[in-house]
Amino acid sequence: MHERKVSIVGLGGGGCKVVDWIARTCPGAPSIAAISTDMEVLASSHATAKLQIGTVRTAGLGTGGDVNLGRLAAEDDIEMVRSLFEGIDLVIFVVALGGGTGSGAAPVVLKAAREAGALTLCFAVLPFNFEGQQKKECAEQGVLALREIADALIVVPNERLFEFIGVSNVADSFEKADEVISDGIASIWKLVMRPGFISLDFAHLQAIVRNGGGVCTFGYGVGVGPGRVEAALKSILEGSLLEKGEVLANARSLLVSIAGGSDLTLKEIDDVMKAISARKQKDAKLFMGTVVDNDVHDRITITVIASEQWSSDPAPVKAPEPETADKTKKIKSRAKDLQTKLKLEPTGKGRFKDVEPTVLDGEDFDIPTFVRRGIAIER
Amino acid sequence: MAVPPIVALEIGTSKIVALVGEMREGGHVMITGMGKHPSTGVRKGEITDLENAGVCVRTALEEAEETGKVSIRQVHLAISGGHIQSLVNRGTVPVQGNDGEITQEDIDQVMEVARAVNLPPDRDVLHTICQHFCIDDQEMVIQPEGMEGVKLSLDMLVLHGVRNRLRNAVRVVRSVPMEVQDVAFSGLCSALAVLTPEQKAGGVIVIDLGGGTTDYVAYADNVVAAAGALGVGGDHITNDIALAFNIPLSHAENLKRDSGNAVIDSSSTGQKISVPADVGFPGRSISLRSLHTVMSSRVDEVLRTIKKHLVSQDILNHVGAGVVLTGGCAHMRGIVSLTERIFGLPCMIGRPRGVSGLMSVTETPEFATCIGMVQYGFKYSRGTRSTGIGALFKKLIGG
Repeated sequence: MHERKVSIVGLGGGGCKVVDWIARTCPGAPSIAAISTDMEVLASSHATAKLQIGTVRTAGLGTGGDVNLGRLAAEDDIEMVRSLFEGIDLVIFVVALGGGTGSGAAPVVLKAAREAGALTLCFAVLPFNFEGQQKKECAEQGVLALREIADALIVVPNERLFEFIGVSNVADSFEKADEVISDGIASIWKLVMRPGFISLDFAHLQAIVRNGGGVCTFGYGVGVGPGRVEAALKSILEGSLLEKGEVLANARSLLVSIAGGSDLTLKEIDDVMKAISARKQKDAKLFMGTVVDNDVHDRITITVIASEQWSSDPAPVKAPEPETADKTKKIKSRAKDLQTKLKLEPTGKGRFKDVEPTVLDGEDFDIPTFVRRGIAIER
Repeated sequence: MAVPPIVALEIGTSKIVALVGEMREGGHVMITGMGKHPSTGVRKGEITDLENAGVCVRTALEEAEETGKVSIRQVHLAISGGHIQSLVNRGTVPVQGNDGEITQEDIDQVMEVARAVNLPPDRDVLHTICQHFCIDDQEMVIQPEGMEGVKLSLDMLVLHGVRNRLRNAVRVVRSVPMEVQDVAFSGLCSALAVLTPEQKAGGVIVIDLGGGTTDYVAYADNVVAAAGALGVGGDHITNDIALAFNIPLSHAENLKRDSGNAVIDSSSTGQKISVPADVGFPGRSISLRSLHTVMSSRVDEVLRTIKKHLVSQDILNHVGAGVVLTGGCAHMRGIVSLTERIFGLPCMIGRPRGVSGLMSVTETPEFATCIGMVQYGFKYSRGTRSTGIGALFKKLIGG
């Protein structure tokens, strides 16, 4: 069986920090790449591959929040970026939107990955509210651009991670937020690379990603010691990441990953799945897999990726696709038809980009409502 | 003809309309002429290009002259824009008359005090509308003359907007050249055209869903309780569709008109509609359900924003007669049921009342504003002015 090649790519300051966390804490992680315009970010990174883009334009100092500069930086070094994706089947992107490199370079880099034939899963981290309106708007435009390109876009608003953070100082808050996201990402790649006794293979993941709607929601819960299942479930069902379980109730497809140590029991898995199944729509697709990590003890992590839509027309989904050699070809053809759809440069506001914005209650009403509300649109 | 005709002009974001109206017996208005031209140089109800807007206005007025067989020298202008807001200002005066009897003099004085509102320096008053009098602690007095009291108060609803933007609209008309006889908030005009006296008494909300702005006016206990405009309209819906599916704006506009829906209908699931090819656009098919999702989220948001404004001013509890929709977007499928769901009140499409003449004009909600402006003109601009627009108007024109 051909081993699937997975690559985790962090983009921009925020994205690099997350992958750095994975590199430090997950022994045996797949190839990890960090792409940034900022020399300092890369210098302190533990990633296996480091790529500095836009050196000529930014003199290695970062973009200073300039989205256009971020985009140009990626376009300048697109060949270097492409070489990163050669022969990779799945690219998990992590990008913190709101900065210049994150919002500007991400669409360019993702497009390169898709054109290289990789399945692209993009975790987009949205800034905290306190980081200001400008960053928020910048992030929203980033989401709009990325949902055009990524196979699956998983939006993680930092604001909703507050309950995992508790009362701590600013540095710890960001660190803790990074930890939650890293843990979620790790459980996804482990699902594909290192299956437990209930596996979810690459073909499954591909089906989920390809058939689900463009924007997915990320849910995460963790528990330790006795009562760990209850604690983890509480985060999933009552936490704000999935809007107190509302997202589960509205989802058309769900991917559930349960990760634990060798002490993970069938009863625990059953409890988790029963609780989640009870909340979902009857006809919603549910996919699950487990990850058993021998280094972990007395700890359970539940990761949920909920997609608001499910269209079964692109490919039959029920049966996992057999491993065939023409899979890469299929992906490539998809990448080609993407190009015809991307004739227009996506901007957040369209015809309103040059007029004075209509801002009501701190929201820019010129940005489409479905973008601001994070509603997935199937096209 | 006893009264000369009135020409109402609305410089809208999607179209410019000029109507010629004549007064007939019993306060009935007859529309005798109409000019209409797609607008350019207008965004969100505000002028962005004086020259282009001026050309469009001239064309619309020429057409109105031709169909109405009149020569137009003056117009009544309906104004909108997201900058228009309202506030309630209470003025209080001690009663001067003997034995504490309230005289017309006291009433005139309290009106003057209630109208004198402090606005930011860049804003001007557009309308002042009397709500209710209050004598000592007795609220909701309608006619205080002859009653007794120590102090007399009056609540005045003040509509105000950004001076320069109000003036820009006037400037466009004067560039034609054409004289502006009066200006009024377009939301108020729409309300005037479509509401029945019973609705005003029962409490009602009129929402004018235009191309660039959404105007609203709420009546409670027979008086205008609140009014305002959001700089969001049908153009935003079109823009949302264009961005969501990456299609040209003209195609998005067609999709909105032909296949649009303000609610997500279960029957649309799985249906596809094709967007024809065009120059530089290969054509494609999109999901009907997605189209409805994009539209619904936008309309839902606009209506909820208005609801929030009205709830925060404690007006919604005084509205019993429901919601009346006018404007071009009132044609949208599903909008009535969505409005009913959001406001929890019955909803209907408003059609102009007490008007006859050109069928195409008098039977649809799109012309409500302009018809209302004609009625407003006959009601307030001739003879006694009860709203005190005169002073403001001179200020606007004078600048």
